[in-house]
Amino acid sequence: MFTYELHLGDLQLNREEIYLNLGYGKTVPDEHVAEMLETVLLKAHLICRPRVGYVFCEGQLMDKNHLELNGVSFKTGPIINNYLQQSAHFAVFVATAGKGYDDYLHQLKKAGDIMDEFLADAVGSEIAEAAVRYVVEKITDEVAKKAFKITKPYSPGYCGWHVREQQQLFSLFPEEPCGIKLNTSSLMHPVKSVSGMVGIGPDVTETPYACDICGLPSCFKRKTTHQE
Amino acid sequence: MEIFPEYICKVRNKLSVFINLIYNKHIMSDLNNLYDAVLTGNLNLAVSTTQEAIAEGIAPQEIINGYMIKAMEEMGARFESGKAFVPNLLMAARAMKGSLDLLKPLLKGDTSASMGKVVIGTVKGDLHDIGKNLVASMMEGCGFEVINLGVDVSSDKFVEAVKEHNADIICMSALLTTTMNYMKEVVAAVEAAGLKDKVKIMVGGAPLSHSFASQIGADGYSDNANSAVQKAKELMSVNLN
Repeated sequence: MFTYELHLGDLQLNREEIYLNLGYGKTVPDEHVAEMLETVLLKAHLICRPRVGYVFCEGQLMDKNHLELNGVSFKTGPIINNYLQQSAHFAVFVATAGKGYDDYLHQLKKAGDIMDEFLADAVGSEIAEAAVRYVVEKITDEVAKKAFKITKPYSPGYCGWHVREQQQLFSLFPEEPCGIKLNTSSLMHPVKSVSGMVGIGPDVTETPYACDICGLPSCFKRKTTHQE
Repeated sequence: MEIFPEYICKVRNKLSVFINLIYNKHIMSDLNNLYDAVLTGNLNLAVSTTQEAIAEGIAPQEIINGYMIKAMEEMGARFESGKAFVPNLLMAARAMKGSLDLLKPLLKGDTSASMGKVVIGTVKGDLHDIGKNLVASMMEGCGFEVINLGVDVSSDKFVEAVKEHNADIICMSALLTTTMNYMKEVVAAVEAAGLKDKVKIMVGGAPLSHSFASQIGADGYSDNANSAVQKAKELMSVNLN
């Protein structure tokens, strides 16, 4: 497994994503909220040590619903499998904001100030997403040496891939990869963690997520306007 | 000499009217500060103004209904029209809760003081916490009693909590398309426990919709914390009728 222990400065946080997580569409927070957000970001820089890692796997699409990686079967579903059609190889990855940030979230929750908790949660989500971008970039650089490209990353819990399959996904890593544990409901701790996979091959394309065909107009990840 | 007491009485009455006028103006001014404090989410000002109002002997219900709820309603309207955002809602709810915490002990025995009792949680298999906490916070800020069960909550836990706290409403949250279906199991468990007529069920979360809520037998759906409060109030009025 290739792993990286990072500082927050190693990641490219996208402020627009944070604003989106906070419920601002194309608007920016007012001065007071922006000030509070800066305080959270400053704290995050002090305590957050993100970690990412990935493993290359051999695999193949079994049918329109199933994928097999290193002999482990996944029911990824037709949406994801459609995007993996050209994949000759695969990589599975984990990315986390780390235990320090998780402890910070718990402290805020215990203190009972919903505003601080909300801001820190939005920042934590973006840290985890930025960590995913970091690890995907590392995989991209690595496979580029063989003139391969990669697909978009796909994660259990989205696009019809059930979250319980995180158990099988984690069987492809060493125990507790990057310090991430799974609970009995197959959910990750620290909570601000992401697991997933990418398809690899000479002809794969990075197809954008299909917001335009998805019927969930209220999805908070929606990037395109829903056509009624 | 007979006229003198009458004169004193007239002067005293006029003085009393004048003092009341000044006094009430002072109170009005302070409580308008409370309205502003809740609307702008200024917790410290909300708390200090409430403390002053209590010290002046103003009825808690007057403080709540006349100023705080009105401020939250204005905030809700601004949110719905896109002039305020989730953080503004939260700060207003936080200020309101700060004041309510001071007023609640004075309302003991007054059943009209609580809007209703809500059991809230993110369903089993889902760890997404914050959206549910936003709703919990808004509900508390608007006068509901909230029992927050946390995340990854099983149907048994929901049913037990309803029985234990004699709840009026269950609020369920899910952020994943793969966990939202668990809500149906909770509805079935509530029915199996014979509680469906006693408790209303509300659902929310990014992948949900009105039609999904209807399909699983929920009584209400909302896509944000503000409308969740409106829906809960609506369901409570149905409960009371």
